[in-house]
Amino acid sequence: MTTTINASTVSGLVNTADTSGILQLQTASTAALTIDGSQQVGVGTASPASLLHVAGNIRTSSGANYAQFANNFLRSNASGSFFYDNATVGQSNEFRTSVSSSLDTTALTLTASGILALRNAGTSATGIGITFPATQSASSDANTLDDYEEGTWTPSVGGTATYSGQVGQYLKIGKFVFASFDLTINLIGTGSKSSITGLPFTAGSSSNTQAGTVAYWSDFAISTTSFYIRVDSGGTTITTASTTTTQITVTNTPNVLGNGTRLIATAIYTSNA
Amino acid sequence: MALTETKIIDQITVTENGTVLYREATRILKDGEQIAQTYHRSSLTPAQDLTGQPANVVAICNAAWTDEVVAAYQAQVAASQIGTSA
Repeated sequence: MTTTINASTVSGLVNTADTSGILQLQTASTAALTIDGSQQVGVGTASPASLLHVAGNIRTSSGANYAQFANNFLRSNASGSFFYDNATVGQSNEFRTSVSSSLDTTALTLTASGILALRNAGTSATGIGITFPATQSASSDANTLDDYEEGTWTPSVGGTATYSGQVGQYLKIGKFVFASFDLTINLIGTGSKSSITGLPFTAGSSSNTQAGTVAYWSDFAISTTSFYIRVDSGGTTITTASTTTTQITVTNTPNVLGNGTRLIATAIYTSNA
Repeated sequence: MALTETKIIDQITVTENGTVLYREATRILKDGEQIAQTYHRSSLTPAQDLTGQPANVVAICNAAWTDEVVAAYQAQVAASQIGTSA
């Protein structure tokens, strides 16, 4: 037998006479819909913990659906694409993960301008791109890219040398470092005649000696037919080698740098982290 | 709108062989909000001349560069050399 509850007034069915208890609909002797004394609605649960608590799946099945959270939407369109729309102007989307039972931490931030910032990375960069933390969190995994940084450094031969040009740029991608420089020595003084210091990162202590490329030199202190630079393991110094004639083995640390020497080169090496 | 530039050494690292790496960050602020940042890195090897270096870096170098660290670094440099000297 089917029983229908009809509203007794034009306002419809508006309350239950039991003001301290619950209003519950059951099917097959199981609670299907429960409204508790705090007006919390449970679907599939007799103990709702939120204003709407669904103990099970939620499905919307028309071509384009959305769920709205204030100004933000979870949305699908008729062709099946799925969107998270942040409709608050200038606001970022943060993806949080739990690193302990009581703390959620932002793992990823997508800013309104299109910057994807990894955990602890700044979100104020201009342009569009991926931002790594300003202080590297090194990964020991061979397949994880954990750092990107670009900047400047100052090549030096130390001692009392003076310079008329002394600039360097570096780019670090993961462990890989490109450190280019353009060095013009005015007076060599007590500076080194064969090595350049100041590299922005230490070469890996377990790496081999690594090479660089030389683009230009002028006014070496000795006639030179070929010239090479390298970075030894664990160091922040560029060491030189050269030949002055046909040689079986290059001359190591030749005294080529002197007054007026200009050298343009790039050290390419892997760092410790 | 107020644009300001600040320079700060935001990172100092002492590596296992005593080399001190530090990074100076130059930050451009617009009304107090950072809008751009550039980096300049420097490295100092044990026993290197510290003239002109920032005071906080000098303090760390002096603490890190014990006689043993300097000797070990110089031994490492000598061991890492390849070929023959001119």
